[in-house]
Amino acid sequence: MTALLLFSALLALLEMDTTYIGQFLFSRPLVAGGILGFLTGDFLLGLQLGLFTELLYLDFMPIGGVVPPSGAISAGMGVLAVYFFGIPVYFAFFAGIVCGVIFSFIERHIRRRRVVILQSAEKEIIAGRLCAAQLIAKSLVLQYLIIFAFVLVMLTAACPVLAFISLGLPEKVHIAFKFSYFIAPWMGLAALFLSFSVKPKTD
Amino acid sequence: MKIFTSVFLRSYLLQGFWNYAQMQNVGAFFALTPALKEIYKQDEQGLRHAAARSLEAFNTNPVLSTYVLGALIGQERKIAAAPLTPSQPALPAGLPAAAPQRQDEEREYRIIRAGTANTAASLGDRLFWATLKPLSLVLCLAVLLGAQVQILHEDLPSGGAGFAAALAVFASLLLYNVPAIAARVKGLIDGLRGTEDDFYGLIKINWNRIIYFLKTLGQIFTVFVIFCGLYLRFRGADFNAELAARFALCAAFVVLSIFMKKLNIPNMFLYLGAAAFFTAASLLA
Repeated sequence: MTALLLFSALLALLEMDTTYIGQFLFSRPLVAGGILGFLTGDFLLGLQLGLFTELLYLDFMPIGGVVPPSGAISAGMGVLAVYFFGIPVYFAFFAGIVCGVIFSFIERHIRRRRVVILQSAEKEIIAGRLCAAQLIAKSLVLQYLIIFAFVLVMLTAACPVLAFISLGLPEKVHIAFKFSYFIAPWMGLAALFLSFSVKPKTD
Repeated sequence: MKIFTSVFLRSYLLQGFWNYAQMQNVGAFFALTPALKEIYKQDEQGLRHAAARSLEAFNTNPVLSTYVLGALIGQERKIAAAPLTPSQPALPAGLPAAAPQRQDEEREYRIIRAGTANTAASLGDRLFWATLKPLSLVLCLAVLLGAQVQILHEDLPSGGAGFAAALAVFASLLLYNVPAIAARVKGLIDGLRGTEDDFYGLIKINWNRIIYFLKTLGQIFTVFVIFCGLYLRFRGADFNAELAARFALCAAFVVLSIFMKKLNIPNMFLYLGAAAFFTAASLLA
């Protein structure tokens, strides 16, 4: 349980880099997956999960108000699902993607909630009664706790269920998911090549 | 120097209170605070006005945000120096012109804020998100495949190649972060020293040329990665009907992915669709 808590805390910290602190790209799936893979004893597996996730998420760009699925959560959850519950990597990858998508909805909700907080905080800041640093610090702590809670809930509730289900699934379903996992990076590489297109868009 | 360092470090928390209404406004105010306190240390009212201005809606690319912050600090200095009284009537030729009113400088502030923020957003998103980030990914893949690490194989060989893999990740982090940190520092310096003529340093660099060069480099690396990946994946494989079928299906999904990209549909949905399709097909077969 201690390891589970520690890894959840680390993953939440990595996720903070996505938007809120630094953006040094420690949160990119490739790096987050690699770090967690290294710490869980299978660096290459973590790296592979991270790479595949990043290749799939290439189309999403965090521009303006766009909240893409969380790459750090997706890759991290995948690695931790394999490590703690022995879920086959192709199911863990799928579960990670789903977790990343779910988290993007939570993230959108948090951003909407901040608008409500801002309405009163703005006046206080201008009047000099509230420090912007305090507001940001409180927001960051809350954000961290929400991510941590999300990761923990997913790991302790959703992953054991998935592990149980995956055991009972017919072999054909395993083959289907494994094949989907195999084609994921190739689809990503095609998108990667197109992302380097130097031709201006005509639409 | 202390203020410069403080603004620079605080720019890393620009998105610390990202919200849908005013986006990065709290982060921008937080980053500007040390400079504003210095500029308005004798003027409490001026500081409040500056805070209100800084808390207006703000959205730009975080990496190039320092250009905007630098330009805004420069303009705040002009606002602080401008008189509050109405400007004097036009003076005879040869005499120094009257200082512009504070109102004029405040109007100019908003123009600079919107103009530089939009330009920095467009350039930064294209350079850092759409070019350097994927380029660092492809560099990582190139190092891994160059070191013959079977990273694209669904049955990953266990153990080994740890050094090459660590090097690949480290190289990708460096490729993104070194230019990003340099751009942040240069942005703050150029923004502070800049004028309207060089658009606060933003047009000192030929960004389009850099982006074009990096994208071309990215295409070359990607082609290398695809061929290297295919070679490593199918090297020594026993070519039979099953492998040919797998290859054909994979190729079909790659083609589909290209069409999806043209339609702006993310690959993630294609993957989820593929998982559902193969599961249904395998159960029905």
